[in-house]
Amino acid sequence: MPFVNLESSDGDLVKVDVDVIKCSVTINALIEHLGLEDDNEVVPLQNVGTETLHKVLAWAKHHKDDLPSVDDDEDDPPRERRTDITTWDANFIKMEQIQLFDLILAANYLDISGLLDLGCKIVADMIKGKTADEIRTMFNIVNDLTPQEQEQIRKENEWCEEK
Amino acid sequence: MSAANAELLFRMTTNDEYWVEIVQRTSGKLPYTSIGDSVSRVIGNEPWLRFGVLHNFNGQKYTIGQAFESRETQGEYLFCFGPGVSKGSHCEIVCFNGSYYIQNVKPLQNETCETFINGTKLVRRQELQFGDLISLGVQFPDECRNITELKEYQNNARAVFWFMEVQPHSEYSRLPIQGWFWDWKRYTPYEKARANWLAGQKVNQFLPTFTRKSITPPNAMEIFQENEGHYGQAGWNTLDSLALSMIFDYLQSPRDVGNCRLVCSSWKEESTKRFNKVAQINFSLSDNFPSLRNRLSHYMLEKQTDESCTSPETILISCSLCLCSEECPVHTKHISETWQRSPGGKFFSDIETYLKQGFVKPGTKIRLRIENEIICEAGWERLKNVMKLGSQFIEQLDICVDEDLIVIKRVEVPQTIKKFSTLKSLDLKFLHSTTFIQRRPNFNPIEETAMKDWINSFIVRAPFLESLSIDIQRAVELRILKRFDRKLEILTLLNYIEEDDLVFNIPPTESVSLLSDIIEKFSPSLKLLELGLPSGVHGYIELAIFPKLKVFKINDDSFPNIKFPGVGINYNRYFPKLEELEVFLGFLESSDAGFLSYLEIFIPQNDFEVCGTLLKLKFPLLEIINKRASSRDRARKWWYELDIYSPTEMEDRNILARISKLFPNVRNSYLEKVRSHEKEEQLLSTIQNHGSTIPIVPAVRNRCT
Repeated sequence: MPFVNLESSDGDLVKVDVDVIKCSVTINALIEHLGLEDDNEVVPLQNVGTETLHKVLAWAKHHKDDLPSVDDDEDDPPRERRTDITTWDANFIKMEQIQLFDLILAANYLDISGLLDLGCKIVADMIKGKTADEIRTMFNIVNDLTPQEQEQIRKENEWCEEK
Repeated sequence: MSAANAELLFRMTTNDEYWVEIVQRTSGKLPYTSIGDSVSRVIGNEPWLRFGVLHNFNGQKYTIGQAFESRETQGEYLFCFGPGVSKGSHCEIVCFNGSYYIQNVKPLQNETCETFINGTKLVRRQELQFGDLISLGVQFPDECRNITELKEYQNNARAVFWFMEVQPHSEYSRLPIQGWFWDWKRYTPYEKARANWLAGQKVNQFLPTFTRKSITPPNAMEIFQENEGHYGQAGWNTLDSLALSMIFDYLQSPRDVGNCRLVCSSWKEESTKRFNKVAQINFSLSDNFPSLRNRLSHYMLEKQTDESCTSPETILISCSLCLCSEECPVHTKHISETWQRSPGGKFFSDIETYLKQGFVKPGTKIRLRIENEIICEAGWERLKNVMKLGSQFIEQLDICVDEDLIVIKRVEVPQTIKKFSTLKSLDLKFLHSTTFIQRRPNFNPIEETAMKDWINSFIVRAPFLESLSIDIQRAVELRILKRFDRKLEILTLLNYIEEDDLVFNIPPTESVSLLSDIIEKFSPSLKLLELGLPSGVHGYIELAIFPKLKVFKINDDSFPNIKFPGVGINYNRYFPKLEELEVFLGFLESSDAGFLSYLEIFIPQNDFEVCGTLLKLKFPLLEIINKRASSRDRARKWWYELDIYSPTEMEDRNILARISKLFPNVRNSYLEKVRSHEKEEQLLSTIQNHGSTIPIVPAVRNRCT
């Protein structure tokens, strides 16, 4: 079975089954384009730390047998993505915010749509029902909007505050 | 498949009586009244009606049927009242990834609703191709794409839709619904020409959708920059825009998205996209489909700005709020439900969505006219809601409230509305002038102060009120008006119930002096004044000088209750700008002294006086129509025009001469009208004699506008 070596930004090498990592469009494309000459091929991932990489791989391993997500329009058109999260995923995603952030970055960089979806879902859940201040505190975001801008946005937001 | 918008053409397979039925049941009136509606076209010698435009928004749903439930579950609702169509919902068309899919909706109990696509029964979801024929309830042969073949099914009246790519408005022409068949060919050239002309006039493009005002990107990143990277251990604000947009895609509630917009600039940018998306509805009111045909005129785009404009500047909404009538004021659950499922209910829900979802851009003016009297509580709740939602946009408000409702429930302008900041015109009417209360053994009228409260609450909240039209019933209302400190341009004081006359429940002298005071107070700014005076002789209301008045209408009875100070009327002095004068004298007999007195008031003896500004004159209608032809035909016609029928006693020629001398421009505009009329008649007779050839336009205009 072919393997590929991934190098994290921390310099650690991780040997991965190609079948597992093929969920990453980035790596898949890399392999397809460059070909896999030998098992010692190293793919450097400058944006992914070791810890995160392990997380990603854990997820990929668990989901490697998943059917590729096909938009079946037999049921409802998936305009709104399904919002259910499996128990495994729910347990998997229980992590510190900083890790979650890195995970999303990694999923984004590696182009793993399932994982990215999962991360985004979780973040969206965290955002739901919170005020802007709470969101900023939660995610440690600096408010770079001027008071005038905020006023403007509030005005535009008015219609959804009703009811 | 391309992402083009689609449209549905519609016709019945059989004769026109169903058309009329469909239209009438749907709108209650004949459609095609507003300018620039081009709604029908001929294909294969058959007229098709433009039924609906299906916009290609991913996930948008369109439901065809007869019972509207909710926008959330059914998407846009297209009413189709025809045989073979389910009384509930019949089928739905869903737009997904640029394609349209059709499927049946579960029919009501003991109903079988079948849909056929090109003659094949629709079993499950099926993709629609442009050119498909959708027939509701009846099967056509497989190859039946040529509509003429449908004639074989004439005994089987069914609704047929033709699904096709959206065509420009110039493809369509207006069409009178009555006399559908025989009128059709005759009208076509004219209608076509007119449609083309209108197309050139840029009236053809109705706004297909309303999108929220696109939100401008942040002007400038000012301060706060130095903090960057200082706190952000996780750097959530630096998250890739794709990831951010995915996160926001999971947010359903506009409020959540709105909050995200407030977080930081990069979040704002991404979430604004989502914000615009959740804020977008497909507003079918502006579309051409027959169930809303009539409402289009209600929903007239009075002033159309550029095409990128997402919301018209002035919207005239005219709607009914319930199905209650005076005969049946009880608002049962059943009536309420029927209303909600009807086009009226759907229209109301459209309005609500429109107001609620922030589609109204700042500066848009809404003119709200409630068609029926508000009798039931549900109707009142709806009105209250619309008032609440639109308090910042309403420019005109016309309502008529049943006083029973006021007594039962004490309806009031909601306290939450602090201000009608744009309200300029208010038309307030109450049904029933007097309320009775039973005190054994008699009924006694109770002093109802609701009108006073209403006027008060509007006056307090509408700082820019310019036009006021109310029915005065009690002196207390006049007293409020007297203290009213706005510069009114339009003032209409009538009594809605009592045949347009004021009924004062106070001594006439007091009311007369109050009215005089009010008129004097507002006279400097008034442009239109309409007065309905109490019947009987009550003394004189002194008229003041009206420097700006353009239209003056007065309803009086039997004897003049007005007078001009000094020697009498002098148009240049009292009405330097007057353009229209209308005097209605109730049911005066021609020989009555009152009639002559009025003549003396408004048409002074002085031969030298000339009022050049007046363009339109309407004078006392006399009961007895004198059939005796006057010496000249035109002169006689003018009598018609003026509503004067020469009583035998009067020297009609003298009066006529005096009027035409006094108001030269009235005479001129009258002559102009007569001449153009004569020309048209001439043309019409030419056509009738020589068959319909080219100059069909003026003749047709007579019939269909």
